[in-house]
Amino acid sequence: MSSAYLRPAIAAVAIAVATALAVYPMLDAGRLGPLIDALGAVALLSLLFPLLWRGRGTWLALFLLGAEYVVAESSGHVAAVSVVAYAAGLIGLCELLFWLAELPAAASIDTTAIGRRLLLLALTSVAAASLALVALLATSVRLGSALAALVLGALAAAALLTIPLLLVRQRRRNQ
Amino acid sequence: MSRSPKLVLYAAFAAVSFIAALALGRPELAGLGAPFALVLVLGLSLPPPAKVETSVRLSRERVLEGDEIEAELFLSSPETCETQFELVLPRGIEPTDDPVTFVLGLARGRRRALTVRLKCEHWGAYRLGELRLRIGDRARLRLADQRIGGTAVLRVYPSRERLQSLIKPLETQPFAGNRVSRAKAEGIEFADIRPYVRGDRVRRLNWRVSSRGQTLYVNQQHPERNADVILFLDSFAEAQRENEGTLDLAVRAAATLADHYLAVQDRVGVVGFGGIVKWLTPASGTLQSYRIAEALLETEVNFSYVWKRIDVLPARSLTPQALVIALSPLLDERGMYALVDLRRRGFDLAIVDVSPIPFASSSEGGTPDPQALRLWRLWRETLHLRYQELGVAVAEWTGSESLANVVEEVRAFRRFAR
Repeated sequence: MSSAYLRPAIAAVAIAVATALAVYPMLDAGRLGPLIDALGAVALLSLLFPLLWRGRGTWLALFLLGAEYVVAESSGHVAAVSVVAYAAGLIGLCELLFWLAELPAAASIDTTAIGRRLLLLALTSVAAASLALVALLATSVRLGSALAALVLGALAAAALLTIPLLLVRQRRRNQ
Repeated sequence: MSRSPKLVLYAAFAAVSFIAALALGRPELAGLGAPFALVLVLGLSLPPPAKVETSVRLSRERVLEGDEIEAELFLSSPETCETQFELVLPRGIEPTDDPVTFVLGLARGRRRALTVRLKCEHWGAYRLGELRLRIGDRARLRLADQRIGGTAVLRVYPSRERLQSLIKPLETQPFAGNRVSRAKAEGIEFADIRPYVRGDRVRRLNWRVSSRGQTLYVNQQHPERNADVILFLDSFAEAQRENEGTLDLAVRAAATLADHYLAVQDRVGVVGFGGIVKWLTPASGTLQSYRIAEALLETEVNFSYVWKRIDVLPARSLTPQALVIALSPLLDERGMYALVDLRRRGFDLAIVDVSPIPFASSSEGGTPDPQALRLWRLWRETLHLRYQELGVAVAEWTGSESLANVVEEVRAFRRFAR
């Protein structure tokens, strides 16, 4: 398949996902409505950067959409469970934008590669939704003792530290 | 290996989300950042991008200018990965229609094959199969750039023109060939009659003349001999524009002339007279045709300040009584003096002036000044006249007209000069 067809298709899906993510917090914004609307509009506009300049500025769109959701969620007008879908949408959007950035303007794309990418996208979104749900459930657990809270906190911190550890190990392996 | 922008962004977003969740006391924020952290953890625990092994096979290794070939690319990887690669093509080789950049999914240990159609636009010896690859791990968090050199050698020979006639050498060599020699000996073409001397064959007696003259006369014939032709390529300098230049035209003309002279049993040699002097001693036959084609592929302009004379050439490269056809843009004094030198040494010389005028441009790359162009033309015409005064046939070839016209022009001059 030619990248001339695939690129517009990916861009269209990315725009659709970004629009959904930007519009959802606006639906029931309440008194913080103008701020949320402004954040959503800027987030959608910032999407032009990664679409037109090969992935540059993806961070801006991601952080703006995240900020918009946080503002809407903190004002209490968005259901907490929505974070599951929102997290999946955000990571899906990022994956799409990075895929678009990697695709050359004129190239022949193997269908196997496209299939694998779509599978990766689906798996990432499902995993993201599941993890967001788990995180939500885990944070809503009321622990009886301070010791249990300490153990759980330590485990969570250890899990987080895995990331830099993996990075360090990878660098050593390369050297 | 490098980190993809995705890795940095995901790490930053996860970190900011977790910090914000802690600072604001809102667990939903942790839920927003957790998937990004998960992708990082899972992605980094997967094996890093593997090295991809490639090879190239060409449908043909020897082609003529303008021909199309198929290049088959084989890729394999010890790990499952996605690779993006570009087939780097040298100048003179173009893809027919398809793009030369590919995104391919490779399965562990399995070899994938791709076919690319290429058009050989320009003569030369090329090394094909150079690839620029970008390989990512499965999560595309780590990227590795790889450059693989070309291994397949493609030889594109210059295209040939059809010639109706060739420049006839003034002298022939002692070997048998297709040319009627000016000498008198055993042959087919009648030359003269002379009185019989002891040892003459009886079958050569001319009975009609003998009966009239009361003494015996014998027929004399011109023998069929071959000739030596030296193609003298002046490669001191060239005029070039885009992909075409005077050297390209000269090489094409040399290939055409060599083929035609070899076809009539003549011995053909090549002398590349420029920054680097190269020669191929005259010989005939199919093998020589291949030798010449290979020698022409290596012809290039090598810049040099060294003043070179004909003396640098070994004697066997310029055989006595050979016809020397010089293909020169008449741009460098060393080449011009070498031609005068050749003539003064008694060589039968003809010059095909591969005109640099069509390649002329102003210093800014635009149209040259008409006044300057006119002066240059006048100067070149004077140069032609000087060579003609020495008895050298000079014909200008711009490349737009057929080489056959130029050959005819040279033949006409030589007929007149005789």
